[in-house]
Amino acid sequence: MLSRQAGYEELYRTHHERIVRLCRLLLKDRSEAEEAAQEVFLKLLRASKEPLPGAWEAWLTRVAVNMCRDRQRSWWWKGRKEDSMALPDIHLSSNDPTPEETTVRREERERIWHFFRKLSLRQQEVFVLRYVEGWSGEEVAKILGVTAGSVKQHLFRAVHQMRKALGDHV
Amino acid sequence: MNRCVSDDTLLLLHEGAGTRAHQVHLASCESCRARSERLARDLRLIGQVLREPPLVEEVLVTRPFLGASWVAGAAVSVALLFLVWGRGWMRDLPFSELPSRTTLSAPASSGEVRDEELAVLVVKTVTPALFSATELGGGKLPKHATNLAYLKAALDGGWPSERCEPARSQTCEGDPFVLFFDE
Repeated sequence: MLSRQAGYEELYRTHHERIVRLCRLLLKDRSEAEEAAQEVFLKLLRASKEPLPGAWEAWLTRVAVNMCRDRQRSWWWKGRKEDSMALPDIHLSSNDPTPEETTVRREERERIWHFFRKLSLRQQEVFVLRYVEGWSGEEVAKILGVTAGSVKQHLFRAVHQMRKALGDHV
Repeated sequence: MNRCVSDDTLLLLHEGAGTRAHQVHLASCESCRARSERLARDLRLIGQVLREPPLVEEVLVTRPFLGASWVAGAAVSVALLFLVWGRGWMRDLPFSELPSRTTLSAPASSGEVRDEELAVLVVKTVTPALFSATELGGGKLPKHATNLAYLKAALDGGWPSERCEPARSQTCEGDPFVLFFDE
């Protein structure tokens, strides 16, 4: 039987990367995301002193989403502005797609990110949890503390918007 | 059910919902099945892209602390307030009011104390107060020589004095203290 400390370390190893990615998607900033994820696992450490609930994965996700939302609602967050910094191109090996294909894919990716950023915060949360994290509609509703109908409504709008990035319409 | 399902229904079916009739139609309709497959492919692609790091790293830049600009603005406002108040206070001082009481010159329209007004103030108020003729017994003081007398004396090569007799002018010039001991 794993001790509490070992259980915490196991949870950290399993979920840390996922939580950082989730926070980065919602906060738009890698360093902020890492900071938020750190706070999430700090909460986990405090909570792990109490009887362990079964669904840690959902618990961590809920705490992470709430953490991101709290940050975005804070007064100091509103005094920030977005800036962009192009990442260096990754070197392509001979097996990689042709430059034309890469260009098309690159534009497509940029469009997807651009349209994702245009979604409302709630739509981003719902879309990420459903199609990036892979939670079911009911689970997303539980994590966000909203009704299944509300999740469906936000999801439909988000999908409609996101498919515009690919030139499709639902 | 022969009609093709709407886009919303297609998404509903993709989410595992929808009526039995819709599901049957989807299974039988080539077009709707193709649309459904495309929807699933698009969502997979979008999910895949969002799982990867963005091509353009987004960085949130902290603006200069908004409070600092408030503090600076407040400081400037207070300084301006003091400046305006200070000017008003200086205008209310007695010495700045006096020139306007005199009729020798027009009061400065802007309330500023001009040099010539200050000079008039000193001549008219301060000097008589310090060198009051009544206190010193003005009747005993020698009268000032007129300009004409000065001119004449200058032409003659000497200084006029009403207390000196013309015959004694040489004595006066040689020993100016004689005037004090004369009486």
